[in-house]
Amino acid sequence: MIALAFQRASVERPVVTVSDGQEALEYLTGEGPSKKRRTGELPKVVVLDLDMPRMDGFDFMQKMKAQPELAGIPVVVLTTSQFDQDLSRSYTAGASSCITKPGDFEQLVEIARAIETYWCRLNRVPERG
Amino acid sequence: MGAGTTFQNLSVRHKVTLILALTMVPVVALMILFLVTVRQLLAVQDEVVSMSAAVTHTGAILSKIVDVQDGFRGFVLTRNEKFLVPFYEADESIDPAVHRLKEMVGHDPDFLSRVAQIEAQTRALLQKKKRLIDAVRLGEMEPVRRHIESGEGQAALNHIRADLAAFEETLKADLKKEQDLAQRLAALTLYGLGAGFAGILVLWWLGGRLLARTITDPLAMLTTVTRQFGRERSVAQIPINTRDEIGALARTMEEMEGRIERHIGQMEAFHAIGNDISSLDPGGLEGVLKRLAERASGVLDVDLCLVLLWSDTIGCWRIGAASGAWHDLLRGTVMIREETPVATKALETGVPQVVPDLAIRPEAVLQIRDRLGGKSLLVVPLRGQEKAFGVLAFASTRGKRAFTDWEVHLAQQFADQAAIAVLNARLYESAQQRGEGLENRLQELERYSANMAHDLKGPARRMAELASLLQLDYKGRLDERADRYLGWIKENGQQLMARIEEVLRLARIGTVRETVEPVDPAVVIREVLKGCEEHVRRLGARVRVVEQLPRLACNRVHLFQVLDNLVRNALKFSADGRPPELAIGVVPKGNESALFVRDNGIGIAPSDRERIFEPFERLGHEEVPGTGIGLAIVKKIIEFYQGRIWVESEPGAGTTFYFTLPLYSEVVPVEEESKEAEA
Repeated sequence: MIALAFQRASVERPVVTVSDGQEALEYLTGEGPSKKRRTGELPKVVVLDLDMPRMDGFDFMQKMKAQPELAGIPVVVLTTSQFDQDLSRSYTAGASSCITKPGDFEQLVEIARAIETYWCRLNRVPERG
Repeated sequence: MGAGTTFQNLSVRHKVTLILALTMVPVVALMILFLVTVRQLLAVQDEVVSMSAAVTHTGAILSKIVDVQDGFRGFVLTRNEKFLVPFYEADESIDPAVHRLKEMVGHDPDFLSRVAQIEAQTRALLQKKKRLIDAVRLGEMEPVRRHIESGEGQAALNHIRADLAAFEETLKADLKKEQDLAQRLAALTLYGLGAGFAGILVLWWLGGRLLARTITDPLAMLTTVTRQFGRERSVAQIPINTRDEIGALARTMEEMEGRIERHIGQMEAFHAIGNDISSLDPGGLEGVLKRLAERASGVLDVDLCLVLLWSDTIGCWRIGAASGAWHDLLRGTVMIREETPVATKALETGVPQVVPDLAIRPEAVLQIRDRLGGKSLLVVPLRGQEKAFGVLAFASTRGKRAFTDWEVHLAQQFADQAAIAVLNARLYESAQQRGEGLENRLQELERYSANMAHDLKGPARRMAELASLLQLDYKGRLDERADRYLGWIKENGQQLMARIEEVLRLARIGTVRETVEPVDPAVVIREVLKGCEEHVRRLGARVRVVEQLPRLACNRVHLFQVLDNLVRNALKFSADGRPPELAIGVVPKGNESALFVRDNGIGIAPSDRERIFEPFERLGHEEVPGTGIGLAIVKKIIEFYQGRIWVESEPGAGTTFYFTLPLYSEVVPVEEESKEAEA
């Protein structure tokens, strides 16, 4: 749904969608059998749903943040939970931002647009090298 | 040793009498002896005095006779009467003198006869002289001359003189003898007294020793032993073996000490047993029963003790536990009521039952006799609050045994204590089982509902999102009705999400520790009112808030949820045709302050005032939007803080919700609380 929202938000930069945490990690490390990313190109931002099969969001973030070359990538968590505890747990795990899923597609598109605008255009991260 | 033993066996009264006699009899004897001696001494001294007086008198008589002779001679020669003066004086005094002498020596007939002889001679001499004096006076000198010439007078005088002298000598010799006797007696008295006193002292000392040994020493020992027993409580044989009262006292004390020791021992054992059987671990109720059986068999020293529990449901005895190896064989098995009549009687009457000889009981089958080989039986009831719920059966299998009253008493005491332990264990176990079961089920349910809610949330959200996607993508291409349906799907999906969110919120209250902080309700109320500003404006509602509200100690979000729910509720259930009027304030209720939210809405029927706090109870107001869970959340939050929430309402006129939360000043420093919560 979020992928669709990104599409509708007319985001021009490429959006890669994976189905679970395991796949996402494999994609980022370049080890996975499925979606190979081109070397040298790391995503600007990872948009993460906490509820995923195989490896959940928290596990994913933990493993991702453990790898120095991946640790710097901002993670935006999409959650259905409105509870402080879940939010603080996400931030502790390394999330840069948490957004509650709205239950309205139009709002979701707006969110996708906002993510692209903020995290891909405005936000600066140190240049790697 | 024979005499000693005899003495030892005498009673204290006889001992004292004997010892007193032993010391007093010699004293009395000595005194009598002394008195006799003194009397004798006095008699001897009297004799000595009269003897010496007799000696003096004898001398005096002699001198008088000489005076008579001299006077006579002078008169004869001179015929002068004045020479006769001493003659007559002597003549007059001789008679009394002789008389006194006679008195003095009157006790001795020999002396008396000698005095009488001397008296006769003296009288004869005086008669002669008087006759001659008369003759001279008449002038007849012849007889006088003849008398003188014959020397007759002189011879008689000499004779008397010699007799007197001899008598005096005899008297003196006697006097000497008496004086010696007196001296001997005096010496004898003196030495006798000294020896007597010494003897009495020795006897007294001996008597004292004897008294000490037989009475005071044992008493002192008894005192020491008693004191020692009081201090150390160690029972020792008291080394007093006499058969008198003190010996009996010692035996009694030994027995008493033994009994005290035994009782204390029993009390301690009881205490230990009480602790032992009361403690639930190890083994819970079963362990309690097992220990009870073991301890009970130990208390009465019987070879089989059964804990029989009456089962009302099946009307039989169930063996809760048995002592020793019997336990594994018998535990949990059942005994038929008719085959255990003694136990049944104890159970029904609540009175201990003793059967010294089971063999002569008329019953055809007796479980304890025929199955377990009991010869004698004591059954005491395990008494509960209302009636006995079981019995302790003490059976002797090796031989017949007569249970004493004391043993029965002891067994009952033990059973009473055991009954409490068993009841406690039962109560605890069932409560725990029930509690554990309930808690487990509750937790399971909570987990289940939370998971379910969580799982439902995704599809609900997707449903809403997809509906809105459809609306976006196919806007204008579908007919108006389809658009409306899609709108409903979206709304329902969102409503479902909201409701699930609320359910999750309700489930989470109390499971997560939230920060407790001082909260000013006024600030929270402002936030709440801001949140429903539009709603208030639309309804034209008026809200009055009391300015001064006490600060509360709670989680800020919790208070927000409470007030938000109550305010929204008040706005929601407004009466038709009149703008809602809300009042938020505080009233004192007893010793606490209750916040209230009052409205002039439709009110709540008395029968519904409890139900409204149950989740999903909408009371049939289907037209009013809402999840039906708001008041449940409010109640749960209030109860989390151990506060109270209640409602006062008049149907058609309005409703007031009151609630109490801890006041800020009531709680201990908030810093610590929040730190703890952060940690």
